[in-house]
Amino acid sequence: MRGAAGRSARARLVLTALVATAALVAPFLLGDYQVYQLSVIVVYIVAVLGFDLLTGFTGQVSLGQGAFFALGAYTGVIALTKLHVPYAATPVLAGAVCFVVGTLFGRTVARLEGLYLALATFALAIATPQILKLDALDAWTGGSQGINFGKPASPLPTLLNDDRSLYFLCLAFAFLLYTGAWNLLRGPTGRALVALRDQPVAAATVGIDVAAYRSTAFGVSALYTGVAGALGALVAGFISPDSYTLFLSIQILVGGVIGGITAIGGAIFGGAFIEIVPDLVSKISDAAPWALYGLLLIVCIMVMPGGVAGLARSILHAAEKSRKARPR
Amino acid sequence: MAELRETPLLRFAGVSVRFGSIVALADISFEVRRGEILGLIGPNGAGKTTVFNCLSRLCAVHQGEIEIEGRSLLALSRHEVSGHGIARTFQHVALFDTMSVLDNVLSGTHTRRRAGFLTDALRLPAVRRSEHAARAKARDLLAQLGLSELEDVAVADLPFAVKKRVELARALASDPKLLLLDEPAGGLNHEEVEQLGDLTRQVRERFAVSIIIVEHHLNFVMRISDRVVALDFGKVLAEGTPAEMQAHPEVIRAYLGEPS
Repeated sequence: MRGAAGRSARARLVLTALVATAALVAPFLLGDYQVYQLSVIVVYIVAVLGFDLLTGFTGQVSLGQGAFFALGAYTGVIALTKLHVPYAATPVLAGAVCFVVGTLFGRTVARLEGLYLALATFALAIATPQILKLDALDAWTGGSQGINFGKPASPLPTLLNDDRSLYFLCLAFAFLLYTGAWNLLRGPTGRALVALRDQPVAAATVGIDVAAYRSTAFGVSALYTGVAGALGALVAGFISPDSYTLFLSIQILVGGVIGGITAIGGAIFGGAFIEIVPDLVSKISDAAPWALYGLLLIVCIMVMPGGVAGLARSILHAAEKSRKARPR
Repeated sequence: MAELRETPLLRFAGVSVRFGSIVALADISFEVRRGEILGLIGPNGAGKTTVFNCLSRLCAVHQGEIEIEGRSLLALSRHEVSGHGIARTFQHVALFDTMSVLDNVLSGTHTRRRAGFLTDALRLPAVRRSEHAARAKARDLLAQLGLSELEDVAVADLPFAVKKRVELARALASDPKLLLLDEPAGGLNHEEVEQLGDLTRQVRERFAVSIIIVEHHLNFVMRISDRVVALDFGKVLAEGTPAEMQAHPEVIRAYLGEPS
């Protein structure tokens, strides 16, 4: 057993090294638009991580991640344009604001389970674009036009152009948040989250404050999503309410499920799926891209019920079994 | 046996619990002394599991007081109970199904540790140390309960009797003073029940805990308990040593059937 654990740790290490190398080298091999797309993928990876923490590990189904994505984006851009916060620091501020709002929202809905919680978060997602368009907030949000502030310029123009520098900013945040999630989930807090998801009553009897963990997990998830929103805004150079509809929340959910919600490595596939697949299907079929997308989703779920991460896990498992079956 | 040398570990004083118009417990009073094994018997619906649920703060107490080491238990929230030294198992087993055996037992240490989102995310040296110590402790518990080989197995894949043992390990991981075992012999075969009796006594000695056992298996309770409390229709019917209980006319009538 120990040997198996060691081998799967090695496999993970090799995989991590590969992904890290690709992430560092790719922007220098790609054109500006593709680097921009890569940045968007990284942004979605962070958002999917937030979704996985909440829905995968804590068992709280959220259809409202888009609302926190929007809150993060607007917080970041308002901080940048009105308060003149350095652009690289705006995701931090956005994360902090979303953490507070998310925790408060999480506390309010802590008693809701399953579909009822999904409904409450759905309400959040459906309300957000319209709130952002309110006349009363126009001075801050720019109303239905949004805010066009232009991509921040690279601090090192000789080394990195604007798109590449923004990409590396996204990558740095993604790296920190990914490492944080990884550490969190393998420690006592991660165990507490999974425990209260699996068996809330027993979790309470071993001393886990279920309501407090649920609401803090909500806050942490909102933090991740908010950072993603702020990064996404920087990468795009503008924000508008219609970028943050319910469909964004659903896409984050799709990314989570396709990647595998109970393994954070899956977020990498999930983020890529959100950005690449809609583009891809519209290239294949002009007439019915979403029908094709839908079909693809169904196939994915049938073939890999645990998402990409689940598939990888079962392949490792099968390899381990055949290894044991072989005589030595 | 009868003399009282110190404050009891646990005291139920006139506890009543109602579910709507149904009276689940009516004015229950009894004590648990340090280091004793107390058997709680009674027919279905007598209120045995309700007693445990009061102790876990899973149900509201309408009247009376419960004290652990002289302090009010009713002032605590559910998740604070284990910090005051009460751990339990469940009649139908309530393990964390997606976790490994080791992780389940590690979860049991939660109440004795400080876990914070930020300190964990940064994996500070203190977290690393505490995790290391918890792992050593959990592995030691698994070894004592003969579960070492299973530490990486997902609990969902285990047979019922083994799950019960894992649940016991998880309960012990919180360093309890009082262990609540809800039908530990349920679903076990004759031989396993024999082993469980020895194990329960060993646990009491090694971990210096008091134990309350709720159990249908009357022979088992009578064999391992120091004292027995018999419940019927939410009331205490009788209380005494196993020998006294076996001779008690009310108990004989209620549980052992009319002598023929």
